[in-house]
Amino acid sequence: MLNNPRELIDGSERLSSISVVHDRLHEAIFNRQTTVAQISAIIMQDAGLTARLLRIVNSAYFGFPRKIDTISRAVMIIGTQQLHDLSIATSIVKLFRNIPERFVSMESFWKHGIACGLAARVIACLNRESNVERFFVAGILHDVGRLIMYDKIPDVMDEVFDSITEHPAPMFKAEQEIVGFDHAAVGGALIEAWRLPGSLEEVIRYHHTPMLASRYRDEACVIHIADVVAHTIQCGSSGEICVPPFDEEAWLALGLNPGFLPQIFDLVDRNLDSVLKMFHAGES
Amino acid sequence: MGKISLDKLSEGMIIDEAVSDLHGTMLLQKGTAVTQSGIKILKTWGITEVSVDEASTKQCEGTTEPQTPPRFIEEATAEAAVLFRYVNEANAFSKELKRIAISRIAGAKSKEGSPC
Repeated sequence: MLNNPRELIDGSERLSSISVVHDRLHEAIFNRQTTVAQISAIIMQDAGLTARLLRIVNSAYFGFPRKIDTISRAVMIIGTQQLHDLSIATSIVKLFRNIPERFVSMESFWKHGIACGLAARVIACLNRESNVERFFVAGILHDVGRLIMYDKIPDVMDEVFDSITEHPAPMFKAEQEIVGFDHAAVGGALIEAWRLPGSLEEVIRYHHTPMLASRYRDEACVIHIADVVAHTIQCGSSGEICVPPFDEEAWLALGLNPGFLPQIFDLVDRNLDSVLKMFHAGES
Repeated sequence: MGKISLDKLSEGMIIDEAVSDLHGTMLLQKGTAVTQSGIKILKTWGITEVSVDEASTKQCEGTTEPQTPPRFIEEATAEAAVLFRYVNEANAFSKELKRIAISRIAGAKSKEGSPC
């Protein structure tokens, strides 16, 4: 048993920082005197990131009537913070490629994340939240801790799989018992180590126990519900094949009633294919 | 009289209680027969459930759902039981989620596809 999720993250060169571009982008956004042109210039230093962002803003997901062909226009239309969030998500998706396939295929893993992200965005829109892209990003990344566990402690994760095959139980509970902590704690520690926004850290850390979140409880509730919706859709998986237990309080805290559910599924269904394509194309 | 969710609403049902949007603007009056364009208006304004006259609901029942062969529904019910094995079924959200899961799985089976 390990004591602290940080043990899995420390000492890993690859995970220590996403990229120089992100650090500079982050700094530029927090500096109020930065101009759109400066932010665009930082993004354009990374050709891959530029291409991915343009593909995303021109996809059916945003549905703008006219083609957006420059990063500076994208920055003006979508806003710096939201573009920053999207660039983090696309960069992290690219980061993990050599995870043992015996656990889960990368395609299946990100499919589940993207379905969750889309559901989270839909729920946030229905709930009239601002800056909905951060929900999309949190949804995509909510299980990222599991990738670290597959990568760093594959033998222990084999034990987790053996255990839930023998005695059916939710996977995060088996992780807590066998590893000492679950993927949500690892994900939270990772986001913290990367110095990404505190809201993202808390939302990921508490996506199975949203009522324990203190500062960003509503955000954590949105991801908690979006995860349940994504599992019900059965689109991809991060390892867990059943719908995880959920807290009714989370739904009530957001003022949602069961009548919203068909609408949530309907909106997710309508967009899922185009968003999956957008990310799949982004990986090549 | 009873509230039903929008996806169960079908043409011919009679609205039993006037429907307004968030700002109080009337969308459908009491006594209106539901039409396709009426359903579209409700969807556009984010209405999730409406009250309809129960007698008119009964008349429309059976004509709304596309015919899914019973064996697909049986199989889907069994699969959903596994999918939801860790979920506490005592609350209204899990009941509705399970209903949606069964209809999605059964629907995919009749189209010979996977749910996603």
